[in-house]
Amino acid sequence: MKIFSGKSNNNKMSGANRTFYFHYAWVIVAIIAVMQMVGASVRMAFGVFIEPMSEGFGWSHGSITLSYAISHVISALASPWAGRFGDRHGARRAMSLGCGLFIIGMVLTGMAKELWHIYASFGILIGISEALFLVPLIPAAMLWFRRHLGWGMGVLMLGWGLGPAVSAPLMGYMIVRLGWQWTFWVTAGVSFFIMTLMIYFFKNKPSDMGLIPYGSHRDDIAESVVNIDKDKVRVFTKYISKTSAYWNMSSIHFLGCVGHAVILVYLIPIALEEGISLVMAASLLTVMSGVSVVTRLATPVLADSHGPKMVMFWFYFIQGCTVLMLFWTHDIYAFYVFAVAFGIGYGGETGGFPILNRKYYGHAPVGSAHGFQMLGAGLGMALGGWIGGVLYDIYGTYDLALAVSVLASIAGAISILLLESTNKLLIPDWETTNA
Amino acid sequence: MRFLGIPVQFASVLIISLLLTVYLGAWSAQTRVEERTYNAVVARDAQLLLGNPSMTFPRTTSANSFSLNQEQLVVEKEWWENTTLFLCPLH
Repeated sequence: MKIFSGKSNNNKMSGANRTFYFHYAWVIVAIIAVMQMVGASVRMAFGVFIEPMSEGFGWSHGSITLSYAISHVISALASPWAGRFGDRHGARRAMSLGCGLFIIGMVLTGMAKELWHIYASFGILIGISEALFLVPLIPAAMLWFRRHLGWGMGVLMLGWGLGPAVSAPLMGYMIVRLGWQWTFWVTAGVSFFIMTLMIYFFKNKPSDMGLIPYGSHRDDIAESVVNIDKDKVRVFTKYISKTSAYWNMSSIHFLGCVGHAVILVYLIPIALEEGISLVMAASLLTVMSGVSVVTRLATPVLADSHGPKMVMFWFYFIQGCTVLMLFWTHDIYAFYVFAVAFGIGYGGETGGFPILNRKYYGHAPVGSAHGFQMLGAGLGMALGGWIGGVLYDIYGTYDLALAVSVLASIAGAISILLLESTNKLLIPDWETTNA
Repeated sequence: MRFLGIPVQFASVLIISLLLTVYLGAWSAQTRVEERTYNAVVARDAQLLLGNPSMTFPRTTSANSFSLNQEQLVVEKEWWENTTLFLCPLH
């Protein structure tokens, strides 16, 4: 059994030499972007909920943000399983299951009366749904691109920036008008409608529609991925775990996520402490996410054309250095300057990883590698989200949490420089050595 | 370079993160337990004072000095407080 089929499909080759042409791959990218945007936006805008929940129930910041941390830990731990689920049942079924869990989790979170209700509904159910949205869908999108993967991933990553840019002020507004419970329920209803529509139009792979991947040339049709052989996936998984990059990319993603999780969760409470209103504070996330949209698009494209290591290094470095500004930021204009500067680095943190995977492992099945990287990312988001609340409860200030954010991002930047060269595949002969 | 078959770079991040998590978790747990103990001491003293208004106490009400009277009080700890305090040798 072969992963790569020798089927030819010459009549579907039009436009393959151009960077942009119409192909259903772009519809797939748009669907995945919308799914991830809707699914992740609530969690990315979690900072908006901290004060209302704290005032409503008298819970400490640390106790509330523990649900955020649990959600990311569960997502992280479920990531390898989600990757296998996607490989076995297809990304479409993963999306359907994720949608169901997400809606139930949102409805139950809105009904919460005790802290453990939030931990179970937001932490566990939404945590698992996030793993199903994030892990199987990126390798699924990669199946649709033979070339120009940077553009495909860039457009896809736009959704990650647009989600919180739209949702943070919207939810801040809904909380003021409806209360935080109804904010969860209304979001659940709207999300159900959007996600159902997206799942209907999604296809797992190009061959499901009689197509070949985007950017395929006549002479590389023989390498078009049309079928996944589970035995081959198992062989590759064995080889991939022996490469240092497999491990180090996960720890780099972890450090990057610690760096921005602190800011995503605590920027609003920090601004509120400086006397800025909730709606204005929420708009900081909008600005930050809006700016990050540009670098989310640019990072995979730049990484694809200029090499991912240096591109990722600079974005990690910017993400870390800009947090230093918050030690001297007190008025709303300074906060906006920070949001713009940090958004540049934050937006570029993630986009290089799919390109690194392609450079290191070629067109081999990278679901397990991506799952392991998302395990690191999820644990990083959990630690970053939790640590600020704990340090605040102890010291009554976010300064130490900001220091942790800076150190994590800079350590990630240095780790990127220590990765192997991307000029050659790490395991080019894995298929022939143990097929 | 590898440590127990795992790249040193990855192992370093893992170990430092685990140590930081345990240390800060235990620190947070200790702070919470001390705060609850202090509140319990104040509540107990208030009860005693209500029952015997002429009674005086040889302690101030600052957070650092409540330990003078706290040895007779045992406050309940949550599971994660017990775990992190058990794991951390510094707390």
